[in-house]
Amino acid sequence: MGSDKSSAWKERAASLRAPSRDMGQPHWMDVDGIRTRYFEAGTGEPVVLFHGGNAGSWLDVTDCLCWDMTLPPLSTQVNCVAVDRLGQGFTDNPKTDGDYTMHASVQHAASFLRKLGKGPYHLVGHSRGGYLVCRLALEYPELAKTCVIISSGTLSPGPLRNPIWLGKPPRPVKTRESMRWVLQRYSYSPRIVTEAWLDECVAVAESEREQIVTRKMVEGLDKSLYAPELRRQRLETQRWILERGLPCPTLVVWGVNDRTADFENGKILVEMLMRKQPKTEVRLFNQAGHFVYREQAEGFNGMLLDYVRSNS
Amino acid sequence: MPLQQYGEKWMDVGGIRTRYFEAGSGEPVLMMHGGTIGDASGAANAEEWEHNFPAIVEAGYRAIAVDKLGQGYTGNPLRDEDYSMRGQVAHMAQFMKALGHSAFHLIGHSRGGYVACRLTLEYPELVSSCVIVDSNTCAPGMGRNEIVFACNPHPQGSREASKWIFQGYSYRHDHVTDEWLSAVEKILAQEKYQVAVRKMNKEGLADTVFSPSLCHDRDELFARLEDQGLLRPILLIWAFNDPTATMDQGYRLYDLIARHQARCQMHVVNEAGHFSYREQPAAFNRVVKEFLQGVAHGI
Repeated sequence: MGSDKSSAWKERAASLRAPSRDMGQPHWMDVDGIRTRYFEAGTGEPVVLFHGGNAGSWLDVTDCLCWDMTLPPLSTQVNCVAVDRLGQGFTDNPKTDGDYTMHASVQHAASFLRKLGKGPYHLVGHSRGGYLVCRLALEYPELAKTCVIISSGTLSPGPLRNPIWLGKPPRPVKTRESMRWVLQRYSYSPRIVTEAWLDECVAVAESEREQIVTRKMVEGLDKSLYAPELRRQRLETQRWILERGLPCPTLVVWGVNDRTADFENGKILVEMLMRKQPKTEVRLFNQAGHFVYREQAEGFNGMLLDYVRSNS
Repeated sequence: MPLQQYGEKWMDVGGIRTRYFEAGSGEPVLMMHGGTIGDASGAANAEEWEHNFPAIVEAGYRAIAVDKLGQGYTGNPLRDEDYSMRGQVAHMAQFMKALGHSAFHLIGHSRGGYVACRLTLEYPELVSSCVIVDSNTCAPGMGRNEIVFACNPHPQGSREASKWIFQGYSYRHDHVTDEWLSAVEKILAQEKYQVAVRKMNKEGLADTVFSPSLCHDRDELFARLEDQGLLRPILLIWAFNDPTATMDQGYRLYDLIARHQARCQMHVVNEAGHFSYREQPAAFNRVVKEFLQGVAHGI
């Protein structure tokens, strides 16, 4: 019995060590009138990956291609989906100015998951996507089988360090070289910022959709709507965590060299989550910055697969 | 499932009759319990790993759980100066060499975590990887044992006194079973154990040997971790509700080891006290297996 398991592991480990970065062909879904891009591969337990960032950031772009070291290896064992959030990547912008909010991004994700129709899901969210999966689990517990929160400064109490570390990017912003600087500052090792990743960032940054959403946000909606709404909902979310707790097993993952979402803030989040959800666990990885699932991809993928399997 | 089902084994280790359990085949995984030699009530021993040992065997490893020098059913030190962590580390290294495997995966809890860390530092050739579980001995800062166990209301060495200690360490009490307490009672009843209790307490070795040597060795350990670090992959497992080895100590130990060792992970489990491997065995076993398998593939 032992040797069978061992050889199965070896095959799996081999696939993790030489991850294919091919996400396959994009799929498209109409989500309440929003054309939504996602990638999907593999069969088995449904695992959905939500990237970070926000629509119309002045500084950088974030979309589901950041999972290109995660989705392909995971899909050898589970059904893995990575989706572009509302107004990011190649998913449409919000239909009305009133939807330039984190709330709308969460509702879009919920509608996407319902229409996908495979719930409850293992919800995996990075950074602001970590806030999103937490909010999904709190608002729509029927969608969440487990919650994996990665390096989410947005969800954690305490100040974000982004203005300090990312406040003075090379100009003009959202060019290849400027975004390379941003991603490298997010990271422990500059080597993880690949040209393929930057290709995708540039393609998104130059798209008409991105130009529109950025103009709207920078010219006013960020300050007048997005930021204050997120501040309010962030406090509400933290209160819910303290009072009710998350409804499902929760895994918090952090890279200890993260400059922007410092684990000092994460420690407080952990203490809050532990209060009400008995099945809360934490995993720290060394030599990893904000994109821990890229910098420690093999360790992260193996851990996530075991976690999903044990909670399936 | 009690470890007794695997049958006790005995080995002469430098004149010390040493008890251990061994089962399975594959790379050896050596499990080291915590506790202090000559503890009059809270006797620790290898059978504490009952919820983990079978899982390690099933995962395709040779599991080995041993009673440390002077604890459980292993004989007492031959020299007074070995009533010390130093003596226990030396005994463990001798035991590993005598078993004759090329290298071991170590899992050490509490004071056994200190032994595991020390072996990794001093004998890297004997060690493939190292898991340190809830060890305030091995972590910078102060544990809270003196506070938690300040006023044991029960007679020293009684079943009630042992129970009070194990429950005091724990978040849940259901793992402190009658079977465990009976095993501890039998250990305490041995003549050799009472000799160790007398030497440590009445004859004062706790204060004249154990404590000063550990005080010196911990300082030296932290200095060496800071300067040179450990050469093997490390996993720290910490319980969020450990009343003695605090989370702060766990994070500080992680920071210390992570400076020099890239392959250093930490996993925290909720609703568990000092005995995380007994209180949350499913999560504990899952994380250890994932770590061991990752080690084999350079993760």
